[in-house]
Amino acid sequence: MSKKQKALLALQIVSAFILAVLPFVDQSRLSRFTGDSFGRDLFTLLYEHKTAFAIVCGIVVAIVPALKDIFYPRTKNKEMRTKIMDTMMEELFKGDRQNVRITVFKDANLLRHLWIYLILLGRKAKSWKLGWPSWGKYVYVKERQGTEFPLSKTFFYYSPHTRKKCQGVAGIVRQSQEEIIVKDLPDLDHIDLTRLDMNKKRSADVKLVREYMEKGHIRDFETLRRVNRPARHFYGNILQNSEGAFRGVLVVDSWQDQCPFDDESVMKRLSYYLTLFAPTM
Amino acid sequence: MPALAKSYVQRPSFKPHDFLIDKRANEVRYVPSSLVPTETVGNVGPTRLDLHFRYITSESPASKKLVFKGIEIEVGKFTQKILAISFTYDPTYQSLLHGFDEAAKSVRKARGSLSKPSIQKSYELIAEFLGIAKNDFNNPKMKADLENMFLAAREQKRRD
Repeated sequence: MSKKQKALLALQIVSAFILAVLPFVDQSRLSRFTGDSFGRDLFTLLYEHKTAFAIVCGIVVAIVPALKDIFYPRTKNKEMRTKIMDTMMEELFKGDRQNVRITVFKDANLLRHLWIYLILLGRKAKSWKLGWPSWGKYVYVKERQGTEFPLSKTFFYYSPHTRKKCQGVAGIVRQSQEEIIVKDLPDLDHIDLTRLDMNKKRSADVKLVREYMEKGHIRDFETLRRVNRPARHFYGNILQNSEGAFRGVLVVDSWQDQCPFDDESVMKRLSYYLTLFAPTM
Repeated sequence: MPALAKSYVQRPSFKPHDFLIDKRANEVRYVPSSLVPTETVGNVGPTRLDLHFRYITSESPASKKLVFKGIEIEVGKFTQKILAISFTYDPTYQSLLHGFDEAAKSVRKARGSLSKPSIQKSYELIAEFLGIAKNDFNNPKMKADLENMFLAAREQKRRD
């Protein structure tokens, strides 16, 4: 039982106890308390706000099981996805967490879209740029294994109509509903992207970054800048739920010198792992 | 007395290049494994054949079936992948084989209305597979079994 579950259970027990005690809280019992004491203060509080306590405790007792029903399957699904990714990491990539990263991207729902839109508006305002950000579909990082950025808030835009507007391998996979391998991208480790001036078109670094963006389906430099460490090889495949609806994208990034996706056995087992994600999506 | 229905199971053995959609120097695109049939289960009756395609991820069927000249194609609700193909024929061996050709044509026709290359390729794989199934039905043992089944069906009909 997690800490949150324990807290909810305790809250439910306390509320149920108060509800059970409330019918016995009346004037005659209050007068039995003599002098100042914690018991008298508590009893007075219960007596004076009897109706409010009844309403609040009733709501808590009624809502907590519903909250459990909503959040418990989500927690379980998250745990399952984490276990699947852990096993993939160990079995397919020999636990090389420094050079391999597995990410589950999920389709953004309406609330998440609004949040993303607000973030984009904020970024526009920060850079003093006019115009509205493009309103479209997004996939965002749901879970991640490997490397040092598990709590990434990265999201990628995808257009349901054309590949040309999609951002990153995740966006392309989500739009095209294909399995994609992008490999042998230029190594950008030695380039400080935060200081790079993209207007110097003849610079070797700029050429390398442009090549990376073109091959890696990164449509604008700002998106590349936000990537903490650009990978050398990518694998992306579409994720479906148990009913067959597309719900997200699995992306494996690799910084290894040799592309791990050239290995046929790895590819076969990756397909097998994809099926395991379906009940959790 | 020969049975009046025959079952057929086949696991298509596709190779990686069969799934290939596009290949460039740094990029390879494949049909996702969820759109590639892993097993086909068929039920051959005297006048009707039902083929069910199984995939690594299941999918609910769409409410409407595609129908082309008596060939019924059941597709998935979300991906449009082919879940089942059924057709009727005269109770003769030649008519059954002709049904496979018609089914493959129908699948290719249905493919034309799809926009995504991945699902188009999935339909191509199914059309290819129908050719393989036709060859399976062409082998001498299968042919003898089927002809016996049709004969028994015709006799049964005559008696009724």
